[in-house]
Amino acid sequence: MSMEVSSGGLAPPGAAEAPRAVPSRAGTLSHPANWRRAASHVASVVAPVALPLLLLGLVASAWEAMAVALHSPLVPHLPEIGKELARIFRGGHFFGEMAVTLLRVGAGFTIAFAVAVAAGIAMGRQKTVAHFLEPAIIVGLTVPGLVWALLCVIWFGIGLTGAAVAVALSIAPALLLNILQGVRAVDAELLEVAAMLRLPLRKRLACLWLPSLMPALLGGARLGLSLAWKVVVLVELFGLSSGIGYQLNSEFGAQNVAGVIAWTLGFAAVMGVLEYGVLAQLEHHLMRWRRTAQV
Amino acid sequence: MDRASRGLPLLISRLDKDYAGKAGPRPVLRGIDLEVEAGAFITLIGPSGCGKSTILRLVAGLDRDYSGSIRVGEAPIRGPDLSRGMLFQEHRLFPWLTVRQNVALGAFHCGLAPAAVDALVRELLERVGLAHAADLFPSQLSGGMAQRASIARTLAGQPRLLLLDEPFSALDAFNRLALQLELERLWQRTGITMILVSHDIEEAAYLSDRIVVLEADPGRIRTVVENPLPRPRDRVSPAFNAIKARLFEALHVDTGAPFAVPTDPAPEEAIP
Repeated sequence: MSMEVSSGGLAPPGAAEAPRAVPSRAGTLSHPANWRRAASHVASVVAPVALPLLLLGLVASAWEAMAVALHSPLVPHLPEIGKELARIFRGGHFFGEMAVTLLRVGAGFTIAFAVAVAAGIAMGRQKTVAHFLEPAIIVGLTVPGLVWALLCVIWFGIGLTGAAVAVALSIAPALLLNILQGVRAVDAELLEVAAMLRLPLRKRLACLWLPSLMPALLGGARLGLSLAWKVVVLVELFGLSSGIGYQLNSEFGAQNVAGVIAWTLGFAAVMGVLEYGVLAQLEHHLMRWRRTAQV
Repeated sequence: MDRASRGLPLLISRLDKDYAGKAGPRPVLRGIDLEVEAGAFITLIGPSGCGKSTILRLVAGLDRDYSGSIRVGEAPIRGPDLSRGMLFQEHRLFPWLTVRQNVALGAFHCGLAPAAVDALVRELLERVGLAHAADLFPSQLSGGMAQRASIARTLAGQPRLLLLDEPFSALDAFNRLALQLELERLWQRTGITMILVSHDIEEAAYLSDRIVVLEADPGRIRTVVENPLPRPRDRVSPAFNAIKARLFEALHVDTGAPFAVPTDPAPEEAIP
């Protein structure tokens, strides 16, 4: 025997085989390579905050330059917009309206998400279901959100139901398409392993389907939220007397351009917090198993 | 369970298998008859397309579209079962679960209490030398470590027949030799029946009691080479080389040897 291996069955000769790790950064700070490394470390911390702020600053300056140049009531100056922002945030007015809108978006989003996950897995696994539901996706994708908003106001009147159904109908096809693609990309080899290990449905969902679909679900959530906001504003504009869309409409009616911009900015800020604060953090946690390429 | 009763016997008779193709069904396996006694170690070897992996998938229960009969133990095959474990060429670990969680999944169907599963997982990881890597994700493992984790996961199901579909062929030479040795020890200790599919003539000669040589189009058994060499086997002994030479000959591989190769294993006294 040309090899020497410790006794005791499946003991590895490669116990020395260490997990892959980042090589230690030994050395002194005076070394230029370490300087460069320190600089790139600072850049990696500062850049994610500084660069978006830079873009915002540039857009704001361009807007102000345009306001000065055009000198028109249709393009209000930054201080006017600031005044409007202060007005709508005073006394929690903005957050009250925002909460109402978010509730409607949340309800519609939840319905659409649940339906899309179930239908997506069924379509990905069963050709007959896919053939049956495909026309619904195509029709759903082509009907404008405006039409769902109008129809739901007519059918359900004013209230949470109409808004939620309109949001759900508008975003479900796009969500479903996203999830369907994810289902078709689920690793067939892992499905075989799940079969060999005799995992029950509950365990298969938790250990195979949900993690496999996570990128599609997160992508779908982003897409769905952005579509949902556009539709819910329409519903509120047509039939409701509260929410961001209603407020936008009344500012529009009063020909208050600064007001329209202020409500939009406030809403965009909340969506930004949702995206960076909640979805991005969630993604970072759920995808921590993934190896990032070093090139 | 003592060593003798651990392994399950396998009996395949008159097995035919077709794959659906554009121009009608394409024959993959024809008239396979194979008997593997409990606790034996056999290897299926042959050119690609000879259907050796297909045989494993049929025995595993992953594919139930065949004619003929496959019996493992007393029962015919009705889908996958934990008593028949399978190792693939790829480690096939769930990338979002840690090594520990992956191995625990292997024991899930056994209905053990959580504490018993924990203990079993710890023991198995200890045995394959991965106790220090229990909380790493598969992407953080080397190829050899990942395949060890996969072995532990399969063993967690307490298999009595192990189907090995080229499990070491993607590893480097040193890891391959080490894992072959570990597999032999596992087999000797537990008596699990082992059916290995391999392209590697030396691996077949080192590990198995019997080597079934297949040919392609359609896949059928060409010949069976018995390998009675005592264990532990010496990879560089003349008797070992004689077995390899018979396999080369059976596979119609030109070894470039200047002389005709012997067709029988060299006598025992040839070993110094």
